[in-house]
Amino acid sequence: MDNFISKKIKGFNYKNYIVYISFGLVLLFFSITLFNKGFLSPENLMNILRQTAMISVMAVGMTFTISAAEIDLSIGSIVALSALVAALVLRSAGIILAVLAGLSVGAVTGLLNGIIVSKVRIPSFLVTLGTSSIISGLARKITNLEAVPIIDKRFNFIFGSGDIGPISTLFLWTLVIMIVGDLVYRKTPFGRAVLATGGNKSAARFSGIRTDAVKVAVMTISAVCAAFAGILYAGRLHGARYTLGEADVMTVIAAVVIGGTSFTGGRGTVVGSIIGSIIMGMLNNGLLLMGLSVSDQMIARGIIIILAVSLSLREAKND
Amino acid sequence: MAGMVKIDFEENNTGIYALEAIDIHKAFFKNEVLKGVTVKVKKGEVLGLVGSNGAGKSTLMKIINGVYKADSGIIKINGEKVYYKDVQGARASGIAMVYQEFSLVPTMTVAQNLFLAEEPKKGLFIDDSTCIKKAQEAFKDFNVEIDPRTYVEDLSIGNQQIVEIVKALIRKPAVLILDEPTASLTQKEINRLFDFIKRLKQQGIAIIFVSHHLREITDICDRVVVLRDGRVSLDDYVKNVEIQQIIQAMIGRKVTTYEYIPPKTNITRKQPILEVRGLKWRDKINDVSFSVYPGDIVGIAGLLGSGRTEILKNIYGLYRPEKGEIIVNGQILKINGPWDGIKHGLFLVPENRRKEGIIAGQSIRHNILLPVWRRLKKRLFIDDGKGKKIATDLSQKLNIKMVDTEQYVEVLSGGNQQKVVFAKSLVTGPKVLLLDDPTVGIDVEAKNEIANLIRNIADEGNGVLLVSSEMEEMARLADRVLVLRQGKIIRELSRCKGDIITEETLTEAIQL
Repeated sequence: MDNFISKKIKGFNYKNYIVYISFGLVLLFFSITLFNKGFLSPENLMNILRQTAMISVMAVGMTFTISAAEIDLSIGSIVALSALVAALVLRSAGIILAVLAGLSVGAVTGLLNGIIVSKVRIPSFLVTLGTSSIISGLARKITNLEAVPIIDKRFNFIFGSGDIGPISTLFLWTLVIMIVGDLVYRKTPFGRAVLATGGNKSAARFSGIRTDAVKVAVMTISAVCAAFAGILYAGRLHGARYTLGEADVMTVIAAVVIGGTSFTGGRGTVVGSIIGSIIMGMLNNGLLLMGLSVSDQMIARGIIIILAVSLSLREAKND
Repeated sequence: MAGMVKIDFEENNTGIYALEAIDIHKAFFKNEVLKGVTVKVKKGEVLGLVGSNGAGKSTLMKIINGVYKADSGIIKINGEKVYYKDVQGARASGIAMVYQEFSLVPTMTVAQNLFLAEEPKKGLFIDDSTCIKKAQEAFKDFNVEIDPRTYVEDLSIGNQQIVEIVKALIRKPAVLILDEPTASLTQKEINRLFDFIKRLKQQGIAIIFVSHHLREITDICDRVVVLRDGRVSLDDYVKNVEIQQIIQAMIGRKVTTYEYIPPKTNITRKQPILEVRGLKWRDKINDVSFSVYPGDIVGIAGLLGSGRTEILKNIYGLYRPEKGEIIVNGQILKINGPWDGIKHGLFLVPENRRKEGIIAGQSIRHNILLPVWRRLKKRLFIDDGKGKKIATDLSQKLNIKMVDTEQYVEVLSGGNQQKVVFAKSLVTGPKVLLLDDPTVGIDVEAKNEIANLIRNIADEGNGVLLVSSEMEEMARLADRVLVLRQGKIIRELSRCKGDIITEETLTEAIQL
């Protein structure tokens, strides 16, 4: 019996559950330290979910990219350009057109990233670093650094500012994207092709998978998700500005990796990435409530991200 | 470089041996690999070392080179006993080995490579001009025209090989070991290499030349040592032996345990299931044409670098043929990639299981079902129940030893991993299986099972194209064998036309 238990304990690999353990630890830590400051109040919790919605949406897309052993560093710039384009189109056209215009910013950039990665065979981090600069430049240029306000109330309600009962529309969007993303990731041939490509590109190719097409697809997915996050930002802030999404890349990648997706590809979960992004949200919120200055928050966040990511790296145990 | 020692090359020369490895024994657990091997090389002598896979060649080389430690036996260099426990020690004692895989850094210059990690310095910094001067001197010593300032990646493969050897020679070793040095060279480059080896000989360096190419052994070597099952089965001067004798020594007169597995029914060779016409690809495949019929197992026999793997890859769509047609079931195919090949009933089992076969970190089921996820779609999503059943059934049919199909594939033994790769090919229901060394590196039992499996696949009316580096395996399975040399089919052996296909006849056919 003793033996049985010790075997169970030995067989238990905490790394498989690290995202839930981290989630519990962060929640516990802030619940205790910020007990008097209302960290656990329903309003604050919904507020955290609201703040993390954009990160979550991008994390879903990035889960596909990282699972295929690629990375997308251009998502931050796409957020800004997509929000600006949607806001500009909204001045003279309807919501649907505005949203489509915003999303197409992502689609075009993503396709471009993907084609360069798979055809010219430049590593994705370099390609997206380049496109990131181009898109950021465009975002600054089209409005001459000015913000574009959105006065369309319906747009703002649907994409971020509205609540249905106590539930924020942002949370509903997160839920929708998560469910769709999870089903595609786990239940479709495409999801399996992504995992195979990330796990062993040659073996996938020998088995008949069009690995080049998979790469184009994952780059497009993460870019379109980023464009949608841009639209959510615009709805939440009632306007767009070129600075939107600037600091999000690191947060998104950290969320995905803490969520259990292997940085070398081939393994991951969409739900884990969402939990990862909520952890990041709790950190932001908790550190703010603790009264840390912006500079101290940055330092603390950086340290915590490195700690959490190093705990969740599965690869480390094999070497 | 090594001083110009005058050496008498006569047979009765009692001159000192540069290297003596005496009565070497080595076992890995209970598997005795070397059972008392003695090999001696004189200064200025080229010793050819041959033997089929598993004869103990590479273990012996690794012991001489300090990678492994012998269980018993003595190693002498220049007549003196030496002890070393690692590669550095062997190197310090005067052993230099040039491996098959090049160890040069392609993005650095020749001079930088020659002195890597031992750069001559001037104060704190590397003295580049001395590097280049020393390199030039070394090349001049060996009468080689290579500019030390060239980047290695800009050199031909033949010159890279020579730089590799010069790098080994810079330490003035007593013995130089060349492991299959010609494997990736063209005939012209081989000739240059041989000229180079002859010059080294004149300088009194002892050379051990490991090769599968018996012609090369008889061309360049003074003596030949054949290993078989961990023992020396032949040790004589090349001028005294015929290639036939070397082959005989390699194979031995052992009772062959591998009998030909004949097809269950007679093969009617009327309508080919796969036809290849006038295939050309770079300088590796030259005007290759052949047919495979339902029920047929056709072997492609050739040495490493003969183009055997490339033929399979061209058929499968991994490479784009420059010329020629691939016809499956009477239909000329336009294949853009493996996905097209698979659609038309082809499937390739690759030679490199780890790199091209399995996806580590994923389950047995995920690996087996990899090519058919699309076919398992029910409306929008994959029908996992059906997939699980297919994977389980196939694993049982192939007798894969596992707990269940959800285990990670990398926990299985090599043979069972290979069965997973086979299961993956069968799941597509292939009409023509392309097998590239399908049993390399797996145990005898699994080999037997896979051989029977291959025959069963053929008996179901499919075609099999088999590439193998093991002639035993080919003799056991192939109904016909295409003999390939430098990208050309030079001969066809066919059992139904009365040709005898055995390990011996095949070994001879690919050598001569």
